[in-house]
Amino acid sequence: MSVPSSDSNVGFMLTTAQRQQVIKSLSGCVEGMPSASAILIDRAGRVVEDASRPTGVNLPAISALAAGCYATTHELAKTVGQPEYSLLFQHEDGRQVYIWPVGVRGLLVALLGGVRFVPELEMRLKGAVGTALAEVVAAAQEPERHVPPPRIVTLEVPEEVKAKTKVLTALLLDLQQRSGGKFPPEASRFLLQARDRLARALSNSEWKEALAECESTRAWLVKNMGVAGDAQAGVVVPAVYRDLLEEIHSAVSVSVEAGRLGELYRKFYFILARKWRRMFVSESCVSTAGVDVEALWKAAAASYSNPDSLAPEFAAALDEMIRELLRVVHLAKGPGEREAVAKRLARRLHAHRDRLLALGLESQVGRSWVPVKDD
Amino acid sequence: MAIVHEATKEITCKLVYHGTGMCGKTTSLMYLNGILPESQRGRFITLETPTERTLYFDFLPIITEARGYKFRYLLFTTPGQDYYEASRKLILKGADGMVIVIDSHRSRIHENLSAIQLVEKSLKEMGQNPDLLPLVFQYNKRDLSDILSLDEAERRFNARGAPSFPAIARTGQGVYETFLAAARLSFAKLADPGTEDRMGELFRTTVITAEDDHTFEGYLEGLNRDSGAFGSMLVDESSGVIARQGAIPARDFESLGALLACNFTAAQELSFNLSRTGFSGIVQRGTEWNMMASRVDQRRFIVIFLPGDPDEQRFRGVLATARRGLAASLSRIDHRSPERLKAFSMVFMGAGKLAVSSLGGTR
Repeated sequence: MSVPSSDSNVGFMLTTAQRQQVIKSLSGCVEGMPSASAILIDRAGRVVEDASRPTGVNLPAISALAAGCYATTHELAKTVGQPEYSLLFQHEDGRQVYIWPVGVRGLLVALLGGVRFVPELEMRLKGAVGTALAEVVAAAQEPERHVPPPRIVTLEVPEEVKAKTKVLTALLLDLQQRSGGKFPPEASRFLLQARDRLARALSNSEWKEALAECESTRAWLVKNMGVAGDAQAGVVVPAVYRDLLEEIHSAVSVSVEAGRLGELYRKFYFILARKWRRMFVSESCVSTAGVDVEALWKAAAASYSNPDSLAPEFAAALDEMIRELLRVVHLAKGPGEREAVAKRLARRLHAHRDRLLALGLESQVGRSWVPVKDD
Repeated sequence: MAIVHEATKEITCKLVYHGTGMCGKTTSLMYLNGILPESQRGRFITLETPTERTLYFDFLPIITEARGYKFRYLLFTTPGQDYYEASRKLILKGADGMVIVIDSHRSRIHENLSAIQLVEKSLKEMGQNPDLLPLVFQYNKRDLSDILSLDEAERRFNARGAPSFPAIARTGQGVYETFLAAARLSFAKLADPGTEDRMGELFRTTVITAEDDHTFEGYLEGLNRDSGAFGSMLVDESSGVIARQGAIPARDFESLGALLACNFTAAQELSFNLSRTGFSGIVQRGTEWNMMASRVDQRRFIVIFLPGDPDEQRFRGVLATARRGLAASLSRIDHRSPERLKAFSMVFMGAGKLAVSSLGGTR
């Protein structure tokens, strides 16, 4: 007859005979050791059986903790390249807690009266008592388990939808940041409902509905939250970077000989083009006069389905260009001048903040060079 | 409990995903692990169990850089089943922010409420005012039928008016947004100098200077030399490696720190449950070397990698010296940290915000 052992949730089922064998083996492990007890648990941390149970202890807590402890030890062993570790916890009063794997499904937790009993216990576990225990555990019946569905379902979200939802998310998070983490109640309520509809549409692969939801949410934000309504990535982003590059170009122009300027820009162009292959696609965009941002944007846009997906990458690439140019200022004029130029750039960027916010780009622009301590 | 390394410009934060069993905590981390590029995440650890349930914790480190600072977010899940209550509260220790994942199905209302009450109770037991801990709600499983309306969910669960996000972790909707919001809020908390003083002792930030690093290295080096250890580490229970010295047989220090911390706290709790006496350390015997862990103060412990069993008497003396020295240094650091933290407020406000938005997650 198959009976559940002391805990009906246990990860394996023992027959009456097997259960008696387990009790016998557990008693055998700690026989003759004063104030010792032994508990058999499964690897998921549930109690199977115990011998000489210590009084007043919370067995479920002990078994869950022991299994957690053993699982982390097992993982630690893998991390440091060891096949397996045994576990011993030391107490200030000399008592020891010992954990030992029983086959691949069980764990033995023993409380011992002193460290001198550890070798004796190890010997018993490696000998007949341990073998008998491991055999019973190996032979125990597995409870029926249903196989759960896979946790993650991968969706093939179209680029346009990805870009729109990303912009909306960035916009909402930036708005949240501006409002100190709290929106007015009516805005919170609206946005929660809107995001709920969007999540469901995306999850059901209803792309048209998802795009419509993004648009209507944006329209609501324009109307109710002071978000700039006319912001278009293809207009705003090139304008912001034209402004920033004008500022840095004037600083670089006084730091570098006029004859070397063109060479300098070309050098940075080729270095950055290795990393940002899709951004720096036209060499003619750089010259002694600096970077022709509009031309660069147009050239890059040719391989993008829409400006929303191009904008963050474009911003990151040009931010790196600005950082390199700031380094030139640093080398030529020192850290003080570099800081001063970076602050002037930050002030110019600040003026574009609202239009960038509307594009979900507020916190994505300038991230590699804006001084940490802004004025 | 955040750790700020002033010299190396590294900032580590702990975010905990909590909620009732099978509500989607592990799935949320799995999704984040799937969408982030390898350069922005460490090893996803989910402990091996015979069932689908989280045994003790899942762990995912997320790493970003901005303006010269390296930010590490250590994401943990707690086990959802009531059976694991004892281990669940260990994971909450030292959290800098929390995501409560709510199973939106109408039949799970009471389990959700009980999970919220439990986390509040556990935090209070650890001396932490729950209201001071940054919190975000993730209303999960919005694709099911017979779910709570968002209005009702807010009314029932979100008394604090914390930011909340509808989500479908199975397909990833809302998961990334929830994480970003939680990460930003935890930085906003760090940037507010007034909050730190009111945090529980186990939840306060540690700011480590180059000089402190040097002091730790000195003690650890002495310990290695006098005990014959390969290497040693000073680890915070909330899972960050504070300092290390010598040959540590691992490269992935985020995972190693998390595993050691969870291992140590579980061992301590287990020992206390079994014998009600003080706990002094763990010995883990491997085939090539042993690992020993020993408490330094209320929040930190040392881990020592040894070639075999050391001479007990001699080792105890060496260890005691290192523990005393480190405990005294840490006490000084804890005392100074709230003041030192103020100097970082702009870093947290500016660079923290950018670090979060620079994560490359795509859906």
